[in-house]
Amino acid sequence: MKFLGVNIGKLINISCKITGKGGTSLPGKIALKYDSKLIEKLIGPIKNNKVIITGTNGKTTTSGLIASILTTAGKSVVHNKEGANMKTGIATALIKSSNFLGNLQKDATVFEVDEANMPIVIEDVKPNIVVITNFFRDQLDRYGELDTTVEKVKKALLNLPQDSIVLLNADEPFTASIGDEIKSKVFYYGIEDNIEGINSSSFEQKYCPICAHKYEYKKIYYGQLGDYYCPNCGKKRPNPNFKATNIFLNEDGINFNLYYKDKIFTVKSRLIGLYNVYNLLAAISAGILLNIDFSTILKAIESYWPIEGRLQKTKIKSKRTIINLIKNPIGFESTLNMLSQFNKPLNLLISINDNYADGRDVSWLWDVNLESFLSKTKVNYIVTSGLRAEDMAVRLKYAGFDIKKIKIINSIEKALDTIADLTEEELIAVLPNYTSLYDVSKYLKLQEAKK
Amino acid sequence: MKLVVGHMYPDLLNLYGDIGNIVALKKRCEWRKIEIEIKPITLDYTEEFTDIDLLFLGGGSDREQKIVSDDLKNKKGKNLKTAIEDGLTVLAICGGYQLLGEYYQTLAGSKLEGLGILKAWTIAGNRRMIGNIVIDTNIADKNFKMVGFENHSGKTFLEKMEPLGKVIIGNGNNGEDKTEGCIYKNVYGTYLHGPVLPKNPEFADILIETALKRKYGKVELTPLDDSLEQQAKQSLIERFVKK
Ligand SMILES: [Zn+2]
Repeated sequence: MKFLGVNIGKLINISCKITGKGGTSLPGKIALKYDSKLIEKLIGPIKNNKVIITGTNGKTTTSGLIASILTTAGKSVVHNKEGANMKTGIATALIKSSNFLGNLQKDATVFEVDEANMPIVIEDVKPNIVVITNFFRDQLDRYGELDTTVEKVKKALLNLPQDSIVLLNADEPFTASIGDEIKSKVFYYGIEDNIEGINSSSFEQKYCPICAHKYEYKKIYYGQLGDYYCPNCGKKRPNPNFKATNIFLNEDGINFNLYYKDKIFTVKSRLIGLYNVYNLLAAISAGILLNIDFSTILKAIESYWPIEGRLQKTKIKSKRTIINLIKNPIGFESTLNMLSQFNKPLNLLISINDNYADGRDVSWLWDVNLESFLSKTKVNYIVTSGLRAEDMAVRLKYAGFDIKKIKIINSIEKALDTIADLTEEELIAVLPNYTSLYDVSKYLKLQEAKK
Repeated sequence: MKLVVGHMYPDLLNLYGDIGNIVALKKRCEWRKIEIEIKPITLDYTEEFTDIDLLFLGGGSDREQKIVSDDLKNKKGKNLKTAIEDGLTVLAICGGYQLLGEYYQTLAGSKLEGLGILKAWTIAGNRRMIGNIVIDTNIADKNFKMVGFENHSGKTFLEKMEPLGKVIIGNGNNGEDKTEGCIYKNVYGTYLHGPVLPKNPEFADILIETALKRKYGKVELTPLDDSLEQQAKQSLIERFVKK
């Protein structure tokens, strides 16, 4: 049956390529219909270096970094790098990497997995390491509330093979609390630095799991991530096994020192923004836990540049442009904070769709602290686009932005043309949500083809 | 003129962008040079509600909803009831709306007592009512459409209470009788997130005006240019309401 499923998947994959529909999850979807155990069967021969990454934000970058570490170490890696992080996307990645006999001649797998798909994927993949980045409210209309999501992930982890490792963000109290209740071997990573935190409105209050008191903070880095403790019973943030200190951030990248056991490593990356320190920390820690030597890890990290739509630097009509996906309040705020740190005049294009993959509810735009960003950043024009361009414009109006400087253009192609025409010296920042990013990429490819 | 807005449990009830309602009240007062103060009302607040002109109560997750419900019943309920009977303007959304009713019946059948200010009760349902909602409303002698996003599984039924509006698209109170929300004196309960006030500036102004009238007598609000808000509303109505 393995052969049939793979071959059907492969045929679909070919037809997807011909019709140009991306095909990041359709082949897997159809193949799984023929063989529901396809993932388990294909991945069976791989015993080591199976990594799963989940969490609300950072999973794409973190999994990209881990895949790059493994590749640099000479492994051949299956990676669902197009961000297709449901079960079907994982099946598709495996099908694409298998031959027509259903044999997967690879020695590592790196999968980013949507929180809701964790139980089923854990059962099929039997990962060696599970990395959890953080929990924020994301597309609430699809998953219900945050506590329920955390609970689901925790339950899924109870089915891990005995010798699997769970790597958790110590600074994010929802994530760290998972470590208290699972039997697996747990490692933590975290920041210990006096760097200035981000003033963010996306704070999720966590209550002490022992005595139900509100956690308090000695230090907040962003959102609810920081050094927290319970003032009542003394429970506190777990002491991280991997620590980042001496963090230095600017427009060109990130430097920090990483402490592990009695060793100190100097990390350099071209990624930008404080939130990427966490992604780097997670990926490096996973690399160390996979016994990859440190010089290889550093080499991979230093040369890593993110995939399409994540901090992508490009030009639109020869104007300098940076593109970054935004999909929830904390991601939006982190991006704005990073842009603000550039200290340069900006023109923005914000594109918001409300398709199923985006979450139908766009209320979250009001949870983003745009007021703080606009008060400290020089922004000349903002074009709003997508199906919810008007909602975004209203949000900007109430954040105090001059409505004469807002242009509502639903068509993303026209919006991109317009923002470029409006731009002189400014840096253009294009901030699309999930399905809008697809339209932005399409525009860029067309522009590239015209050259 | 000064409007004092009481924001009930800002750290507990803060789901689905409802903070946007506070932002809308704040900006719409500031644009008219009306002084506005936002007063957070937290668990330790024990005062009466006599200094408050407009009270906002949002929704929270189950855990937070329980904490709030206990606090309302044990500490604030009596004062709140007195103030409401005296004409306090209240906007209660989703979970907050349910709390003002008589009870909430869980799937298992047990009843959690509410404040009983609204003659309304809520029964937990199996189906989550999620999606865009458009209603037709007629309040303060104004007839207009309101848009929002609803996300609830509780079904609310009214007894001899006036609904906030009639459902055109979506579920509203219970998905059965086409009613949405509830009006009692100056209390407005609704399931509309979105958030409701910046999306429906007419409604925001009715709340501001009602609250100021109670304090200052006759009040005439300066009209604002709401063409952007109306454009946003219209685009949704055109998308979702079949002609
Ligand atoms: Zn405690």
